[in-house]
Amino acid sequence: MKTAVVFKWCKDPQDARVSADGAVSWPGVKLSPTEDDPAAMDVARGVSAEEDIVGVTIGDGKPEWAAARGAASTVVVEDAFGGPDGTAAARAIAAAVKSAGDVDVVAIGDSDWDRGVVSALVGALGWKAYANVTAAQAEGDDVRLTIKTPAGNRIVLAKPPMVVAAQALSQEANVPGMKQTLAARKKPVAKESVASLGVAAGVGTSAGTRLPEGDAAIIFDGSDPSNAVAQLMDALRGEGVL
Amino acid sequence: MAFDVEYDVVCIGGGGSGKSAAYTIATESDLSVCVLEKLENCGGSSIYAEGTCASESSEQAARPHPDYPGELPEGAHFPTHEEHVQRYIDYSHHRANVEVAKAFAYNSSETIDIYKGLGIEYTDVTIYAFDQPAELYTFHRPEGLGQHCQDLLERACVNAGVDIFTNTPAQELITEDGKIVGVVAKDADGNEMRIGAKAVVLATGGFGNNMEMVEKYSWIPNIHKNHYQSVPTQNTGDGIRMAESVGAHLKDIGALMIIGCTEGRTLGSGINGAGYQPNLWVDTKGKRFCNEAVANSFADTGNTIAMRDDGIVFSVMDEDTVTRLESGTGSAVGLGDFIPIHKTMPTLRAEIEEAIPDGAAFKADTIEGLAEAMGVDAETFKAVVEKYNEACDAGKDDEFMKPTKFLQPVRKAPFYATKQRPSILVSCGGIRINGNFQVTDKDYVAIPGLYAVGMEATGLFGDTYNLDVPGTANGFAHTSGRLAARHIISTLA
Repeated sequence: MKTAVVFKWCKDPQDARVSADGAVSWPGVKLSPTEDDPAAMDVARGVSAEEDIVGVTIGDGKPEWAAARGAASTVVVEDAFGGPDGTAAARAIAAAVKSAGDVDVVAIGDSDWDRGVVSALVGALGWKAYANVTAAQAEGDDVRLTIKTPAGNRIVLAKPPMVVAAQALSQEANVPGMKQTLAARKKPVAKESVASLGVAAGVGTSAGTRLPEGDAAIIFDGSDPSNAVAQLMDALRGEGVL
Repeated sequence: MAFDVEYDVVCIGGGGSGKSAAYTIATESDLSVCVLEKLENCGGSSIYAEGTCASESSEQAARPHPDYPGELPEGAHFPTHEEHVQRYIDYSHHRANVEVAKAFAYNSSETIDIYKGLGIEYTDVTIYAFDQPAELYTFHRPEGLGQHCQDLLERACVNAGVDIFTNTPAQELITEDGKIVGVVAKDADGNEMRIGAKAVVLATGGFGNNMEMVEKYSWIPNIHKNHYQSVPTQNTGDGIRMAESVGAHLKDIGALMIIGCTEGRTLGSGINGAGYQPNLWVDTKGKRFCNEAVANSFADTGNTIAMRDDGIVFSVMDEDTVTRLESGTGSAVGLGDFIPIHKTMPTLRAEIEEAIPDGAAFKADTIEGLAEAMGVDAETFKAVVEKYNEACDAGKDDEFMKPTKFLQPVRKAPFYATKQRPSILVSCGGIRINGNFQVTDKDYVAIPGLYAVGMEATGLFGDTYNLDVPGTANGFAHTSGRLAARHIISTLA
């Protein structure tokens, strides 16, 4: 069974620079492995032998991440930028998966850094998909998936092809050492482009990945305590608290 | 010579100084660079920094300004580079290296601009201790403090293409014909790695957690035995050891940044906040020994506590003082962000009760009872308290000249005491460098390819950390790393 593990497909939101007017910039920021990419790698290792694991990534940043963790080779679509249009990234990833040939399972981190990419990837491949997967094992021609739900773990036995969106339960336990990382840089890397893969353009732009956490805070000027208290009381009444 | 991998530059240590050096190499040249960090995470002592020292910075130029809080008190001013340099010379009694002090001071402002470029916002430029008139206004306080700065710097390094290897302790330097040509390290899986390098930057944070080296080098007797570790740093002198092995000259090694801390407690705890105050302090003989207003300088306080034979000081309070600290006017002296000035300690009593079984705090209904609990001579202690209370009533401390405003009597039961111990934060200097941050031998000749930066480099300090220039440790870490890197670029690129 062959598994493509998708890694480093978006930017770390912590690297975003938000200015006072709300404009977002990413000065010098490269794509990063998400916090769930190690979980995707665990899925790949649970399903396939090392020689049957191919890493798939896009854009800039270091391409050896999956190879250092066991992938035999890597496909990178160098000019597929993980920008606001998640569909463009998803189409590039899907094309790269197809170029790797006869992939049965696509493992990708179920990261909230950019939820749109995972969904769009599923659509681009046209495969069934399982989300919140915390473990996977090959069982003959099937794959046994452990899926985390609010009610507990659910076990599913599924037949490929499929997309598995993996969720990390903790930080990566065994980060590859220097020797492993350097050896990974010698593994084959197939460098593709959007044009070489015939990737279609994206369908739109993404303005964000989640709704705001809550209503904005109201700050009262405390220089006059009596006035501040009066404003607070008015606000509480206005919100229906009092 | 065979290597497993070759980089142009290897930075040993992933704290502020090592990452600054690596970031500069990666962004100002085409040289390849890696960072070797022995712990699981980068950051070093810099994650505990509360502020960064600089003179003539853009932040200072922008203040005072109506939009910024904390306008300077009358008579205070932001120092010039010259004043900045001169304070290192004066405070160290001319043991500081003028080349190094000038290199740091004159380039310190750029560090602030670089951090701002990475996204850091500075909330204030101030001093560390509210009542310390000798301090220069150099303390640039970043939002998110040291941890946030290091997170941003690490991200910047990664995005700039720096290879960072954690759990990868460097073990020895490789030389050829007297020149540094590489490093031997052990990677995260225990593999020995021979790493070729044209330049190596030692940035391992000194020896403050190596008690053998502390005993060997510190001028404070018994500090190696009496020390209490209040922050979990692991600066074990790796850089100093490696430098010495290739002929580096060690100079002005021994100064330690020591801070007083309640035994077994954190710096920011309420009980430490209380114990740190300029209350009545006695040693284990029950005797008073200093002007407790030394608390205005944590560096001097650290030395004062450490100089006790057993490194133990009892900070004595009565019920009125505890009430004042817990719910009244609060702290009389501050300790940066650990103990905010004029802030109450709402959980103080609960923390004291919790600390009593540990022997870190004591409580009794009588002075004699408190003496017994602390294990000091009751008659001696009682006489000390009586004399102290007389000074408080007179508003004048003839014995130790403590300012009147800090004279709080010990009169109302119950009586309390906390056990204060010296805690080494970081060592200050050791490897002799020149103004280019090159490591030098006994003849002051640079060892080709070897640099030392941050707190393991000698050049700013004499026998004590200089709190007259607050933020020096962190400011020097970043500025020295950058300057060393620029010299490397000038020689290699």
